[in-house]
Amino acid sequence: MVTVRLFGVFREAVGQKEVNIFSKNVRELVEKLNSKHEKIVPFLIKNTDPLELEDNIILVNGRSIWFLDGLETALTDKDIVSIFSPIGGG
Amino acid sequence: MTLTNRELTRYDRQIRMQEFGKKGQENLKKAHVVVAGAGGLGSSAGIYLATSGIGHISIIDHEAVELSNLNRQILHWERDIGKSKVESAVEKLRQINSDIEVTDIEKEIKEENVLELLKGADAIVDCMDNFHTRFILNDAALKLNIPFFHGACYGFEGRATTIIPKKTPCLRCIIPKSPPEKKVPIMSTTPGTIGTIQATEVIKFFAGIKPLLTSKLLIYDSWYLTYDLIKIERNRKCPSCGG
Ligand SMILES: [Zn+2]
Repeated sequence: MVTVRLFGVFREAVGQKEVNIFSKNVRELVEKLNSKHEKIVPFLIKNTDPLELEDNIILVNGRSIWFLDGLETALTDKDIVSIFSPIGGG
Repeated sequence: MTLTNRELTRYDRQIRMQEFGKKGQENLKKAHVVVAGAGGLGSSAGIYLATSGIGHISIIDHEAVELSNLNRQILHWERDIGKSKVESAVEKLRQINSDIEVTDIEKEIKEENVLELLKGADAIVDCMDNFHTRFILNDAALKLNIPFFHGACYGFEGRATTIIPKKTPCLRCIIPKSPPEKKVPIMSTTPGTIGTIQATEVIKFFAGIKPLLTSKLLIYDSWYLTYDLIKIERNRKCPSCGG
């Protein structure tokens, strides 16, 4: 199981701080999150077909997926995925 | 740099902490810290850096105080509306602590002037309200090899991380793209908490106290009353620090 840590709007949309999901890559994880938690879709997804993400920060074990393989970033058991949006106010 | 009797009395309560002591206080006195932005984060960070005895604080901002700033920008008061933010901030900080040096830099931070504005700085506190300038400061900190204390707010949520060039991830390792800039909602107290955390990090850094918020992103959520730490890693492909 991959541990998904949710922050801000994602935490609110899912109603939980953390969820555990079986998935082999980020694409599958996003699809499972979307189908299970409808409220997360507008925050997470820009386009469904082809799947395109909003500009959020998705880290796999502390590394941004944009510097890994994006949606195809592989996931294995015990990986920790953190999802949050960039915030910039001051 | 020795401490005067007045300083020994003034900072007595923090000097009493063994891990900090006179040595820690002397190190703060030697430090020149740039507070980039005199808004909500800059107000709380600036106040605590001043009360703690950072020897030289420079404040950079180019905007004027507006009524809508007053919910969170506690260095600015009703009488300051229309005044430049640096002028207003520097005036208060000098009254808070006349034993330190406070410099006002009324300039907009840009790629072409950032190194000039940061001349002589030992650290930068990120109190900006936009990513464009944050990235300019991030890159400048890497170039100058000085620590960069990041903070940001949205609503009831705040973030902070301490960036040490070549050792920790930089801002762009975590946030590769600038999100669109817009006026964001901010609860009055959020920058108060985050600015205070940034100031604490600055103090600990100069006093040599660990652990710091290095390679960790703090996510503070005052709605749910949680503080979470996310481990963050350097990215070899990062356009700024090239991991
Ligand atoms: Zn980097």
